[in-house]
Amino acid sequence: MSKRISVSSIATFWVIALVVITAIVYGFRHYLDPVFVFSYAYAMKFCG
Amino acid sequence: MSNVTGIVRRWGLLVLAGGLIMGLSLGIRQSQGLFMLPISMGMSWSIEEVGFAFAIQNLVWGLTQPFTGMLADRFGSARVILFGVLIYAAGLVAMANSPELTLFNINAGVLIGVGLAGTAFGVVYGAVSKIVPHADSAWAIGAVGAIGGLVQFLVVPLVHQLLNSHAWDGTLIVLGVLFAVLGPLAFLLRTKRADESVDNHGDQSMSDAISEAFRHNGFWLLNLGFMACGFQLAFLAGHVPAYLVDRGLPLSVGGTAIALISLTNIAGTFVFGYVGGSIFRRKYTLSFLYFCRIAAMITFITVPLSPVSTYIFAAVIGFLWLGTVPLTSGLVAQIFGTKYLTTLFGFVFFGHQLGAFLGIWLAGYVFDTTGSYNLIWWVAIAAGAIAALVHMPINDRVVMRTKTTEAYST
Repeated sequence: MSKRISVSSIATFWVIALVVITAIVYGFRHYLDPVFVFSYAYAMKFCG
Repeated sequence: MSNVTGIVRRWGLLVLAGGLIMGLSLGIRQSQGLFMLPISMGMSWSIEEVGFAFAIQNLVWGLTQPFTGMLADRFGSARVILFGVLIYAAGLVAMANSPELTLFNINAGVLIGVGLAGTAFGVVYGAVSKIVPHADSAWAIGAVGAIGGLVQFLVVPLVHQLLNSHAWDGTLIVLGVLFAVLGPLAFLLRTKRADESVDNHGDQSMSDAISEAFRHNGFWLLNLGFMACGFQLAFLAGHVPAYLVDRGLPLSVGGTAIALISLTNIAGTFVFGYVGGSIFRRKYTLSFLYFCRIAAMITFITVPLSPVSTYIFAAVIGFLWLGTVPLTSGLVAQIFGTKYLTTLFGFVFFGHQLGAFLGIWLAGYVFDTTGSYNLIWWVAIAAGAIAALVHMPINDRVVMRTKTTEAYST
């Protein structure tokens, strides 16, 4: 009863995976910016 | 895999729309802290004055969530989400054009608070639970949370970048336009109106449903548990980044910790949304989650603070961050049905926001009076213990109304 997985499904899966990985790398690099960390840490105390 | 492919084909667009709207709504809210210094300096208002608008926003969000829930149940979720997106976008643009503090408080506090009540967890999870059949709903709820988490993770650094290039008022306008453009996605989350619903409610009215829930012990226990959740998350989100910086850890460690919380939250929201209901009973999954939070917090504050202990804590607490939301919403649906789910979850969410208000305020008060966060860590741990315990005795069986209705109708 096994169904064949279409090429388009595999391609879609890999495109989504690539987009997610790129997004995570982009985001992570910004989270390491000291100016970002300081202003975020300072201000979150006031708005939670 | 073919099963997953089928689910993605059936519900992929709906899940993407829900995740994008919810993620953008929560992400913009989460990045508001970055606006505080620029607005304070640009408008010559104190940080406390700017922060007061965001405190109002949290309360307005909690206070109006039951009412947006009622509207969503009465007229359908899509209209309320679209209304929420538009009022949120208008609030952002109006914030950028507020010449005086009172107007800023109304725009940032009231408009965006109402916008959040129309676009965040309550209405979006409610819509997905109503639209997606039971067999696929665990996956759909988990996936909406995961996409929302990913968008939230990206919006914060995006806002930081926009602030560098467009100043604070330009950034608010860009965000407002971006959110308004996504508004039509709300139509993918169309639900039936209450009078069209064929859920097991017979001809139950909204006021009957609210009074039924208020008479159910489990509803109040859920409220208490979710209030503890709000308390913990507001304390952790609001004060732990500052705690790390104050304790002398390098800023890069604090940044990595914030990123790890956001990233593992994506996985955690999916996992808890998926396993709750489809594999484990939701009330026990919630208890387990709160016990894990307690264990993580006790370990973190008792071992010597180091980059490694911070990374491990951030990864674990992030995984446990928003998993409570689909589980709590799912438990309300499981006990009371989905016809008035958005309304009833709105009342539970009010408790969450009350806890969040207390978490932010009490942590600041304790730190200012004792010079340390030690006491508030233990209060947060105690709140977690209460939450873990109160979920266990909840009667999570479907309310007996179904049989009564059938008995009347036969």
